[in-house]
Amino acid sequence: MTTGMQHEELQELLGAYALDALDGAERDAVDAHLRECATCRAEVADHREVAALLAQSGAPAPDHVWDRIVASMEPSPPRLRVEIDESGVGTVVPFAARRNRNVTRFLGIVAAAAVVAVVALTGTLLRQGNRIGSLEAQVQASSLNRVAMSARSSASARTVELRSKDGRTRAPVTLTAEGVGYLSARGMPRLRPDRTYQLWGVIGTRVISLGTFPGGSDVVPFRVDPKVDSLAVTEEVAGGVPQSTRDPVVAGAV
Amino acid sequence: MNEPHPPEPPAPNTPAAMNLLHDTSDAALVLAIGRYHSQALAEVYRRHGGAVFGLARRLLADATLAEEVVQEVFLRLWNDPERFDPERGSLRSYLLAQCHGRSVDLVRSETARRRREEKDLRRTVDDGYDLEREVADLVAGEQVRDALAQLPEVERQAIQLAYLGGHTYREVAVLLDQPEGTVKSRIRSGLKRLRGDLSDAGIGGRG
Repeated sequence: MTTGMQHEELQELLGAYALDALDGAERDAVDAHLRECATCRAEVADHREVAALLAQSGAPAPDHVWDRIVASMEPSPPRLRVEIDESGVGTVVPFAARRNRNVTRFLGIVAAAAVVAVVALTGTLLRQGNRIGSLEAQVQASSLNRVAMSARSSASARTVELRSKDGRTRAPVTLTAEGVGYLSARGMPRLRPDRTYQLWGVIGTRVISLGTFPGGSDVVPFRVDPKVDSLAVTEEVAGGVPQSTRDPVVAGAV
Repeated sequence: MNEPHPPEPPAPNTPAAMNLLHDTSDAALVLAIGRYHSQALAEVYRRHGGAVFGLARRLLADATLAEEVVQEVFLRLWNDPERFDPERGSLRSYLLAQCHGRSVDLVRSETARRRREEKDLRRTVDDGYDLEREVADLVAGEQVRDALAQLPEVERQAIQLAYLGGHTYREVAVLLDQPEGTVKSRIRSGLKRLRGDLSDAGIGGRG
């Protein structure tokens, strides 16, 4: 019925669509059209803004509902993340404990345990893999590239290449003398949204998580101990894992 | 390694949450949520939770179901903050659209429909069901009320029945005894007219 609908016919449906007043087939037709038509997407957004004004309510939100939201908010799996401030000092923030600001000062690598750590240079460059904001990512991709480029050209930096077993997938890594690494992930396959890449550092017999990053990443910054002797990337469930049992997608000696 | 027991985040109305986040923009709050700052979610809840709850309760005519929808909408923001795209509209309209879609799904599922019809019936019997009055209660701003009042009758009714009544435009056509095509285009033209009137009055612009 809706196949072959003309643009104008679809446009006529946008008001009803924005108010969820279409049923199955017509809604699907508009959904499909919106994926391709920015003008119609903007119109739907405008309609929703207007509709939102009709929904205003003076009553505050019920507190007991907030209590239930809080009770369900637990992030899983338990993990750590690292925030590094301007002076280069990292702070490990246990996710489960961040609510009481119980943070542990931290320098260098995440030596605490093989827990998932997400490295965020100056707080914002890399976040938990499945949470990379597209907004932020866009803004920072270009400046990150510049930083990585200048790191590569610095005399004290080393470049190593992580490779897959068959040698077909390669991910160059630049390591600066200051202990910052940049992994260029452009050559790595994209992942389903529920999967993530996880970067590991190996020191002797210890395997330490250095963070997660989504498929389709460009340059991934990370903090790394100068003593690390090899790096590996595995594919894991979104959010990462404390210890990996999977074969690396790419790996290489430093 | 022992996982410390997570303490409860502060309730949305505690001074700590308010002082720090009161002046933060919605978009910045969502970025903070992306970094697992639960207080940012508390602030978003404080700002928009009431409107989300009000809309869900209006559509579902059932406070318990409405609370479930509210919970779902905010947990979704917590779990998937990157689904909100500030380029495409305000956080409030995003949350309300999520709430509306979910509520309407429930309304259209059989059980909820039956429950609502019973409620509607009871309400009609109890105190005279009056859509106009309910809408007047729900719509907060005077300018919004004025702009609504200036709409042609069919446009206003069609929008109200679709948005606040949770009806499809085909159902609205039956309720108003109008052709489907008319209702469909009146919803669109009414929304456009409202937008024009409201931006003339200085509200309703994006961002």
